[in-house]
Amino acid sequence: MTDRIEILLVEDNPGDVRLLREALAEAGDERFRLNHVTHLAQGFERLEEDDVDVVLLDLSLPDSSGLETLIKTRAAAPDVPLVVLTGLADERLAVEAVRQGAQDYLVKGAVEGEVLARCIRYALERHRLAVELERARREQLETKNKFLSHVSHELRTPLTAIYQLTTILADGLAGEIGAEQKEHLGVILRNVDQLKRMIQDLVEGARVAMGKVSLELHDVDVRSVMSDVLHSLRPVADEKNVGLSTVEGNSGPLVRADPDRVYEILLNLVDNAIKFTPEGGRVTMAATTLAEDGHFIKISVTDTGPGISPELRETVFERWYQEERSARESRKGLGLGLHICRELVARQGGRIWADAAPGGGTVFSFTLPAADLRGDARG
Amino acid sequence: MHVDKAKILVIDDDQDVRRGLGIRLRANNYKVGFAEDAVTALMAIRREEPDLVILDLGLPGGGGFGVLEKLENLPAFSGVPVIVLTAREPDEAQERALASGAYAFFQKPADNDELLAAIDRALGGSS
Repeated sequence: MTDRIEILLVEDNPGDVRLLREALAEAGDERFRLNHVTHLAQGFERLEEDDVDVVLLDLSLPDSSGLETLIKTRAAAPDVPLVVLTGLADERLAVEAVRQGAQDYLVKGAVEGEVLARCIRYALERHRLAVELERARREQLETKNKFLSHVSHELRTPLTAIYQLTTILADGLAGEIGAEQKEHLGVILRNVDQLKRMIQDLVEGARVAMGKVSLELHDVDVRSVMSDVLHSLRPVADEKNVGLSTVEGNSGPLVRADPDRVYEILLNLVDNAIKFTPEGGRVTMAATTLAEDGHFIKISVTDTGPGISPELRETVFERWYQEERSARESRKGLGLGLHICRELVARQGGRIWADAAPGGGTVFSFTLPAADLRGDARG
Repeated sequence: MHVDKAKILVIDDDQDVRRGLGIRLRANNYKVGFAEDAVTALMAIRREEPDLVILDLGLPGGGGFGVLEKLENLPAFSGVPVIVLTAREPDEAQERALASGAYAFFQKPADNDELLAAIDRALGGSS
């Protein structure tokens, strides 16, 4: 390819086409090649051929009008810079178009050759910079996340040695130990577990940020996931004297989701709930069909903890968010748990939110698409 | 009837991990041998003729996958179960390890009881 600049003009008014042609000729830039169509559908056909460098787009076309013309074109060809053509009276619309991703706008009838040429060159250049910036941003993100994965990996080996030798001492394999020593070793092991979970969160957080979470969708029996979580966290709840139970629904709801991810989300929510519930409190899991939309199952975790103030109910899902109280009452995590939950729920087509529980405490709820039973019958 | 102790070869480049595994395995009535890189690993396997191998994947001198694949291709040892114990993420390494013939995959740090149970199963539950 030489350095020809293929311009696609989408304009149905013959007069305007003629004026633009003249302006372009007047500009005297030999690289410009003008291709002209009158309908948006034809424009899309040209864009599919992938040889368009810049689009000059009239927003009022026979088959599309207003901002929608721009939005559709952007969707069809997100990588092609676009200049909007507008009438004198439509300047506000043109400004909005720029906000929606157009590189620039030209007021028809007032276009001189030099202005047109500059507008096209600048549009191309700005677009090139935007692409470059996006590439640099992605690269930076990737480097950061590779770094996180690398660090996590390197942390696991020393953690393994600590775990092994501590359990060797605790199990008396290196000689008898007293009750007090045993207690200290228990504290070390609890911290080993905590570090292990932090490393997992770090890796999972990086994966989520890169969009690298792979999902294997199955029909998942929510009740069996709840019972797995119950089994895993029963010891933690018992140790803190927090009641942990599930509310039995009428039948086991089925969701279309990745069973491991559903487990991960629920484990995270229940673990959190136990952490913030004082001794003698309760944590309850429940699953029901979403009242507002029968295509979704709502799974919720209710605690009798101190509750979350309304202004923080969105914030808790943000990356690196940490509850200040947790620093004192138990131990801080990395502030990634709920963020990971939100991303995992969203990836599976649901949403997650926090409410106040009646009588104090918090309810964390998330939805997942109900399994399509007909699809199941087909296998 | 007394059954001979099963012999486990631990292949890991980290000295402290070898030490910890060694104590734990001996405490559970296994004989234990060691190797610390891919090259000596294959020699150790020939020399020690282990009943089971615990293999780290991030080894100097060729990597654990190389050891695993060579082992599975040696007729004399292809029946020896290999348990992979690695710091790598399961979604990056587990599938390949199992496809290459590993009996089980554990990420470090692995729970003692779970690891011992897998060893027991791999050896046919006769310990």
